[in-house]
Amino acid sequence: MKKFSLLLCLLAAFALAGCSFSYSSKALSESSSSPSKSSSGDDNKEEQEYRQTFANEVMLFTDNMLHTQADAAAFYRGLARIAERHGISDWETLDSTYVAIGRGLKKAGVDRARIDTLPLLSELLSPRPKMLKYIVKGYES
Amino acid sequence: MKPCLSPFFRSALRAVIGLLLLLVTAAGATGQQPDPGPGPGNSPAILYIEANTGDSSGGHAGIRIGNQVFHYQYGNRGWLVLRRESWDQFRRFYNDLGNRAIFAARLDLPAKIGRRIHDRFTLELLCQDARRQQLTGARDRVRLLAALAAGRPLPRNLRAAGFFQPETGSGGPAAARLKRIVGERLGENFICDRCRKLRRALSRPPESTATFVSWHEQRSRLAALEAIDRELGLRERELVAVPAGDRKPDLTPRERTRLREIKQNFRETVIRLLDSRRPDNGFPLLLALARYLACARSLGENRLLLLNSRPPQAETIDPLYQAGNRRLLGQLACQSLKLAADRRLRLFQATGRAAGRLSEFAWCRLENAATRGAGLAAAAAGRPRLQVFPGNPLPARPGSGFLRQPFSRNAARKRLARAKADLKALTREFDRRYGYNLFTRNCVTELFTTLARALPPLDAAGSGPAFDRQQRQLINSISFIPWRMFNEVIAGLHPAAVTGYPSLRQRYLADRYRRENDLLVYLKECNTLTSPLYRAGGQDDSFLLFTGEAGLARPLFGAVNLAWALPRTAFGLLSWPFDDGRALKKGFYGTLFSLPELFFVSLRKGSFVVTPAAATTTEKSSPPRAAPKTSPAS
Repeated sequence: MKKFSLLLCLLAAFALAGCSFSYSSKALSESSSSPSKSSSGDDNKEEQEYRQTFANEVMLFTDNMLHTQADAAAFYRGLARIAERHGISDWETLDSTYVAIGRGLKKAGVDRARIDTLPLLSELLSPRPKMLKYIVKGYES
Repeated sequence: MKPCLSPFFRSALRAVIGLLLLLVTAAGATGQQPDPGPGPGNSPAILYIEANTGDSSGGHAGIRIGNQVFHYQYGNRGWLVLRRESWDQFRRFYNDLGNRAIFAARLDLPAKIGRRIHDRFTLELLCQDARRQQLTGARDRVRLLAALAAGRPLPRNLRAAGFFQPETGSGGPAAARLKRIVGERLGENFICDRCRKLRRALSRPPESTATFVSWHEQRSRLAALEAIDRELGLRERELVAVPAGDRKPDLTPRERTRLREIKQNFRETVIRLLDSRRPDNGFPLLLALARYLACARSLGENRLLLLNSRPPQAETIDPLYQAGNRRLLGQLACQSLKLAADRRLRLFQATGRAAGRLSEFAWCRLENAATRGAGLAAAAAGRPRLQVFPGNPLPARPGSGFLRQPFSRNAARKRLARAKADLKALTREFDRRYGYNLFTRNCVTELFTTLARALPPLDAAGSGPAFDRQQRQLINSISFIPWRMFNEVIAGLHPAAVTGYPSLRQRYLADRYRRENDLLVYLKECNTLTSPLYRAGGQDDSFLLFTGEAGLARPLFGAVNLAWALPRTAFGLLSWPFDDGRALKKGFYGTLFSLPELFFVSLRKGSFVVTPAAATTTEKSSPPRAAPKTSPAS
């Protein structure tokens, strides 16, 4: 009887897992999608959403990094993680990354004159100094 | 044995209490007038998602801001994690597949506050992700040291290293050409020098999780350099072919030209990343190299081949479901392959500025559509173990590289105990921070805790741009039961509008009632056997009658469902050794969820694994409607 009660309890626990959603349902549904999914409009909308979300995350992350005094390596790793979540591995060459960093610098209250001397950015900018203009563009937007 | 079972007991207790709470407290309708619903702006809307059996059986909560929804989900290891979905996806998962009605209360807040709330949730998401990375690092460190201490090979956890064949020279002329160009551009000894330096650095065992992260990155970089140096090729099974729509899959002359440009693009990425100062350049290097080789092979075979992007943690679909739904899987395969063909067409037809630079996002989406299509097509043709995955992940088949014993077994053994202790401490920290608790830390409590953190402080007079003191108190002490929370939001936070989004079945039924004879529709749709919409199986338990629309007859319907599920439970006990307890699980759940129906409470609404074909007409037209005047739990 004791074992049966245990079994019931275990099954009840599985039955009522809180606040979750089946991963496989979600995953399979992405394969199926609605008939409209194949339209280019849907893809364009998603790409636009990804750009906005990516830019917003980079901005917030930059702001947060400056407040936590993190080192450059942690900053790059964080940027890489954000980009990877959106299907991007080569974030270094994207103009939008630098524009978003600029917006993050402004949000963090960094002085405009200090941008090109920030240790957090020096390694990022030294191989591609042209990208500074995108950071400034983001800062001034 | 006992310590292993105690979490189950806790979960069981939580579950039973959850069910009792639902039974005791289910009441209070939230019927509201129709309105425009949460608009496209940043005004946040609190979401309440109706209960159903299976996951989130006590209902769910979230917050919609603009086109994004943030919600806390009960995930692996009992942790409650913040997730973000687009509103369309969220509706698809919960409203359509989960077959639950969603109610949204749009708060009347200035746009600035909406932005602030959005940023707070996004930041939470980023912090959570960083902590998870730290935990993964601690786990990988233990795995590495344990493997080395036992004299086993290094773990296969180098992302994208698994795409390559181990045989030197297997990459053919493309790999040889790349190696030559690297030598010309970066120096003849560039690769050898870097490899030597890396091997030296890797001979020092990582002393902490932080140094392990760097150690692992160096291992990944070494694997990439060695792949170039040894001119490795790609494994056949790691490639998927992309269809070309109605025509033959051969590349057209125009596509060949474009593909050559793309190949060159990946080659330049490889060369640039070799000299990059990114500490984590190993993975992107391996990925760009694999993509470059895939393009070269496509040109050689005159058909588009891409990397298989199925992640290692992809979930395997229930074999019984797969066996019983071959036709459906075939349809899904067609849809997915068509999507891949469409994306191929768009990517290769790009002109002007779009053609000049390859969008990695678009390329990755093409890889994912092709991988999903190929998997579904194979499953429809009878191959077992269909694996599925959500989102747009980068292809990252893990491998182990060529590094064998970077440091001695003794050195690994010495550090293993410390690494395990670090992992334990970090796991405890995670349990403390993200551990689920039905009463004190669930999808509602966490949502409102984050919301409260996002609000600007009140001034001395107790007022501010968002919510007064009384409303702040409500936010801080909101009920942990989703539907009660929603009623409190409506009563206390005075939303600008409340909108109901009927579930897929509700929309479908409304549509059919409008067009056909009510009685015939009801007779057909009241049970799982004759309903054209519903397909038994999937993740639902055993039940016969839908009790949602039964009204006063609900206890009677519940008794029928009980009588239907009990013999299945008994059968499940007998078949347990042969089906891993699947029938027992379905029978038991069927019995369990029939009980509330005897007391007029209906939790079970049926759910869908994919959007049923019968619903496609209603799927498109699902505008917000008035919240149905029924109990959230009924």
